[in-house]
Amino acid sequence: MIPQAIISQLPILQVIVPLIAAPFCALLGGRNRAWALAFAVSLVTFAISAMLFASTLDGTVLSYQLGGWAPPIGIEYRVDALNAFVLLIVSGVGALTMLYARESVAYEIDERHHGLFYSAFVFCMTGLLGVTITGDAFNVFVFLEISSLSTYALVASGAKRDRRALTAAYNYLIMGTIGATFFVIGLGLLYMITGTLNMADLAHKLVEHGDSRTLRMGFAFIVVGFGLKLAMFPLHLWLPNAYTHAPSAVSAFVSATSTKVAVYLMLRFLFTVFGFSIPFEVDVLRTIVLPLALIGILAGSIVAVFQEDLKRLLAYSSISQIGYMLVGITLLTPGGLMASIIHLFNHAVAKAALFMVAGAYVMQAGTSTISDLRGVGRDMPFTTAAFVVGGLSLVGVPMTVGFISKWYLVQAALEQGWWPVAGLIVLSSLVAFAYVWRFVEAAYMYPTPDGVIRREAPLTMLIPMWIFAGSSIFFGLNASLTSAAASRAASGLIAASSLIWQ
Amino acid sequence: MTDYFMPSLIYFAAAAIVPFIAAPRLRATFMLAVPFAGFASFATMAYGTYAFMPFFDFNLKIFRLDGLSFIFGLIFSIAAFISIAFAWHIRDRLEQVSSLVYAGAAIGAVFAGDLITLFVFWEGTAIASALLIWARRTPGAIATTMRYFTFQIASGLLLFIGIVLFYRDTGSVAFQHMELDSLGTWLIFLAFGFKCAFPLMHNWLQDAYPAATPTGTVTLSAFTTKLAIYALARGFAGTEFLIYIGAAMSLFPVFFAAIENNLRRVLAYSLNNQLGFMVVGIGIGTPLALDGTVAHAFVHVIYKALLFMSVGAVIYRTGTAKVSDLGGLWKYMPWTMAFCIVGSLSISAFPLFSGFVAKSLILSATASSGHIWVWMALVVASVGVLEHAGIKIPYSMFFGHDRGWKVKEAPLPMLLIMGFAATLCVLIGVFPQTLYALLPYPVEYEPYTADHVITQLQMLFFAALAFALLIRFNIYPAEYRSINLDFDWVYRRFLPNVLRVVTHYVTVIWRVYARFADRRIERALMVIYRAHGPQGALARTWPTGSMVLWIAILLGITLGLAYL
Amino acid sequence: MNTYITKPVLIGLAVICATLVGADFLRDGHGYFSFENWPLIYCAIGFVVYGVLIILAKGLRVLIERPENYYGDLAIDSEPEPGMGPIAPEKSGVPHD
Repeated sequence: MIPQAIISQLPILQVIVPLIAAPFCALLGGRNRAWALAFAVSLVTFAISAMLFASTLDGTVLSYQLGGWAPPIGIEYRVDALNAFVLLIVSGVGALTMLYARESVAYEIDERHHGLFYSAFVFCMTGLLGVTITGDAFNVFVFLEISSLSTYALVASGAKRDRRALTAAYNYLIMGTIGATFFVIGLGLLYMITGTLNMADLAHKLVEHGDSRTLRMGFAFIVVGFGLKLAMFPLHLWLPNAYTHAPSAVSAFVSATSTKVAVYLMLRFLFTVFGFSIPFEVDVLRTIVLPLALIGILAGSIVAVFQEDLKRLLAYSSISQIGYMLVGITLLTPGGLMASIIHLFNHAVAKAALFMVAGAYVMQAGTSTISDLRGVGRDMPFTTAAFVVGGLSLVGVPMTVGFISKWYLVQAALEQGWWPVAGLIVLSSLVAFAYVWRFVEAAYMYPTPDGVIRREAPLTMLIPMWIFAGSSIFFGLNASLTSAAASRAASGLIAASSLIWQ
Repeated sequence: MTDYFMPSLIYFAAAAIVPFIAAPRLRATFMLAVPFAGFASFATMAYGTYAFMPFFDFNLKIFRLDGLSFIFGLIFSIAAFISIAFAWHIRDRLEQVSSLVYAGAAIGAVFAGDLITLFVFWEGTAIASALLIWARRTPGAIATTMRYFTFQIASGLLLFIGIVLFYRDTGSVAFQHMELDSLGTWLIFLAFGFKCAFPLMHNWLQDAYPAATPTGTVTLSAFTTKLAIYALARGFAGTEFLIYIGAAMSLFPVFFAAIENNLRRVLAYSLNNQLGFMVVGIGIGTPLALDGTVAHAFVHVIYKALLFMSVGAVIYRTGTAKVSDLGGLWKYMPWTMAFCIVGSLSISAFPLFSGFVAKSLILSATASSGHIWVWMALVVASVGVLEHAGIKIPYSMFFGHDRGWKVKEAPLPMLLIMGFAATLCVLIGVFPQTLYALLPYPVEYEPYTADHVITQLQMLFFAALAFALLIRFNIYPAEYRSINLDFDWVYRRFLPNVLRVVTHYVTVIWRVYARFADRRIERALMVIYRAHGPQGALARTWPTGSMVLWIAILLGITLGLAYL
Repeated sequence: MNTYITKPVLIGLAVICATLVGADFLRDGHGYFSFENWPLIYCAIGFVVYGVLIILAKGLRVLIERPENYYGDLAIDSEPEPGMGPIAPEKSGVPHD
C-alpha cells in the first residue's frame, strides 16, 4: 500500500516534517494560517507515528542511519515497541491539542503572536518526538533543548492573561537548563569511559567497563537531571507555576507529553544504557528514588486538595501521578515496568482531558479558580462531565484507565511483597478522590453565582476533550491494546538490561 | 443476544433516556415499563453464563444466570417496579435517574459471575443510593449522605483490597463459594458485612433510611442489604460464624425499635432484625436454610416496601413520621391502614401471610441443625418483630393517641401499588408452594401443619394480649420526641471529641515548640542559602534558589551513595 | 387516654387467647426440641417475652435517650419530613390541639 521506500524513511520523517514546518508557521503568521499549517503537520506526524507503531507491533526494531553513516559514528534513529508507543502518545496528544488550541489560543494569545506561538508549539513537538526517537545519547540532549527552549517560550506566552507566567517561565528555564546540564555532564562522564555516544554501543561498552567511580558519577548526574525534567519530588517546584500560568493548550500538551517523555528517557537510560550492570544503580533507585516517589505520591495529592486554582490542583496531581510511574520503575520487575508504561499512556490521556476542561473554563468563565466556578456543571454540562470522567480516572475508579494502571501497579508491588507501598497507593487514591470531589462538589452542588453567564465550550474544544475522556473510558474497559503494547515494551527493556529475572 | 448483553443495561439505558423525556406523566410511565423489560430479558433464558467481557487477562463473566441469581433478579425486578410505581408523583429527575441506576446496579451485581464485575456494580449501588438520600437536600440529609457514603465506600474499598488479595492467593476472580482462610476472603467477608449491616457496622442503615425522601426509602429498603444477603449466600454459605452474627443481629434491634420515635427508623431497625434471620439461614447453609433465606428475602422485600410505603403515604399527608405526632389516622386513611396492617401481619408471620411461610423455613432449619440457643434467640426476635413492626407501626399511626389530624386518604396511585404489594403478601401466604417452586434448591416443606399454626397463633396472640395489658396499665413506653444513642455515637460524638482534644493539645505543644525550632531552621536554611545562592538574591528569586538547593542536596546524596 | 384499647377489645383478645389455650390439645407434638411439647409453652413465650422485652427496652431508654437535636445540624432528627409531590400543603391536615 505504502511504498517501501517511504516506510524505511518514516523514522526521519517523524522529526523532519515538523522541524521544517515550524519556521513556516512563524512566517505565515496571522489569522488561522499558522494554525492550519500546524494542525496539518500534527496530523501528518500522527499518521507517521501510527505507521511506526503498527510496524513495530510485532517486535521488530527499526533502525535508521542518518546520512547513511553507520553507528556508532553516525547518528542512529531507533524505533522499538517502547518509543513507538511514546511517539504515538506525543503525536496523538499533539494533534488533538492543536485542534483544541484554535479557539483557546485565539482567546488567550494576541493575534500578532499566533505565528510565533504555533511555531514554538511545533518546535516543542519536534523536540519531544526527536528525544523519543533518537538512538544517540547526545542527540537526546539536542532535542531536549529544542523542546525545552520552546516550552519556556510557550509558558511565557501566557503572560497576556497572567503576568506571573513570566516568572514561571523564568523558573522553568533555570531549572530546565540545570536539568539538561546535569544530563550533559553525566553524558560527558560516560563518554570519558566509553568513547561513544550511541546508546546501544554505550550499553555494550559499559558492561565491558564494569564498575568505576566515574560511571557512578555519570549515573548520579543523569538520574538527577532526568528527575528534574520529569518533576520528581522535590525537584518539582517549577511544575505547578509553569502549568498554572501557561496558556491552556500548552498546559494540556506539555502536561500530557513532556514529563512522559522524561519518564521514557529515564526508562531508556536506566534499562537500555546502564542496564543495571552494577549494583549501585539499583541502590540509587531503591534508596533515593523510591522514597521520594512515595513521598511525592502522597504529598502531591495532599497539596492538591488544598489548591484554590483548578489548573494548579491538576499540576500537583501530576506530581503525584508521576510518583506512580517512578514506583513502577523502581520495582524493577516486568509487572512494575508494565504498570509504569501503561500509566504513562493513561495519565497522558486523562490529564490532557482535564487540562482541556480547565482551559475551557478559562475561556468561557474567565477563571480557573474553583470557588468562582460554582455551579458550572449546569452551565457547561459537557465540559464538566469530561472533568468527572478524567477525575474518576485520576482516582482510579474501575472502568477508567486510571484503574488499569493502579491495578497493575498494586499487583506488581504485592508480587514483591511491598505491602506498605501497595497500601500507600490505595491511600493516595482516596486523597485523589478528595481533590476531585472538591471540584465536583463546587461544580454541581452549588448554584451559579448571580450575574455570571457561562456558555458551553465550542465544538472544536469539546471534541478533542471528549476524545481523551472517551478514550480514558474505552481503554479502561478494553485494556488489551494498551497492555499488550506496554508489556511488549517492558519485556524489550528487560531483555536489554542485565537484570536477572526469576 | 450479543455477548455483552446483561439485564442491568436495560436500566442504564432507561436512566440515560429518562432525563430527556419532558412530559412528567410520560416519563413516569416509561419508567414503569423498565422493570418489566428487565425481567422479560432474562425470564425465559436457560441457566448458564451468557455475557463475557475481556478485561486485562481475565474473561469477565458479566451475566451469570442460575437458580440463586434468577430469584434475586426476580425479587429486584419486583422491588424496582414497586418503588418506581410508588414514586409515580415524583418529578425530580435526579431521584428518578438514581433509582433506575440503583436498581440496575443491584441487578447487575446479582448477575455478576466474577468478583470484579461484582465490585463495579457494588460501587454503583453505593453511588446511586447515596443520591437518593441526598435528594432530600436539607443540611441534615446532606450530612447523613456523607456518613452513609463513607460507609458504602469503605465497604467497596474493603471488597477491592479483598479481591486483589484473593486473586493473588488463588489466581482466580470467579465469584464462587469461599472459605474464611485468608486475609483476602476475610476482607471480602467484611465488605459484605458492612453492606449487610452486621452489628456495629449497622448504623448507616438506621442513620440514612429515615433521611431519604419517602419514596427514596422504599427504593433503598429493597436493594443494598438484600444484595449483601445474596453475596453472602453465594460466597459464604455454611460459614458457622454467620449463625451467631445473625442471631445477634436479629435480637438487638428489637430493643431499639421498641423505644424509637421515628417510624422510618423503627422500620430500619426492623430491617436489620429481618436481615439477622437471613444471615442465620446463610450460616447454617443447608439447602433448607438457604431456601429459607432466599424465600425470606423475597417476601421481606415486598412487605418491607409495603410498610415503608404506608409510612411514606402518612408522611405525604401529614409531613411527619414521628410516633409522638401521629395517631388516629384510621378514620381518614382507611385503605392505607388496611394495607399497612397486611404488611404488619406478614412481617409478624401470621398464618396465611407471606412472612409465615418464609420464616418457618429458617426456624426449622435452625432447629433441625441443633442450634438450640440460636433458635431461641430467633423466637425471641420474632416476638420483637411483632412488637415493633406488627403492632407499633400500625397502632401508633392509625390508632394510639388521636392528635386531631384531619387528612385525605393517600392518592390513588399510592393506594394501587400498596394494594398490589398487599395482594402479593396474601397470595404468597396462601399459596406458599408457588414461592417454594422458585427457590434455588428443591424443597419439601409444608408450613401449614396444625401444630405449627396453633403454636404460632398462641405466641402472637398472647404477645398481643401482653401489649394490650401494658397499654392498659401505662407501662408501654411513652411517646415523646427524643432520639436514642446507638453505636454511631462513637464516630459521631466520641471520636470527634477525642480528636478535638488531641488537636488542641498538639497545637499548643507545636506552637511552643515551633517558637524555638522555627527560628533555628530558618537560620540554618539562610546560612546554606547564603553559601550557595546567587549573590544579592531578592525575595523574588528565592524560589529558584530553593529549587537549586534541592537539586544540590539530591545530587549530593546520590553521589554520597557512590562512596558508601 | 386509651381510646383504642377498650374493654371490648381486651375481652375480645381474652376470648381468642382462651380459644387458643383450648386448641393446645390439638397439637400433635412434632417439635424439634422436647420443651416445645410442654403444654402452653408458646403462650408463655409470647406473653413473657413480650413483657420482658418492653421492660428491658424501657430500661435501655433510660440509658441512651437524648434530646431530639442532640446531633444538631448534622442529622435529620429535628428537620421536618419532606413534603411530597404536587399537592399543596394546605390540603393536607394540621394537628389542632
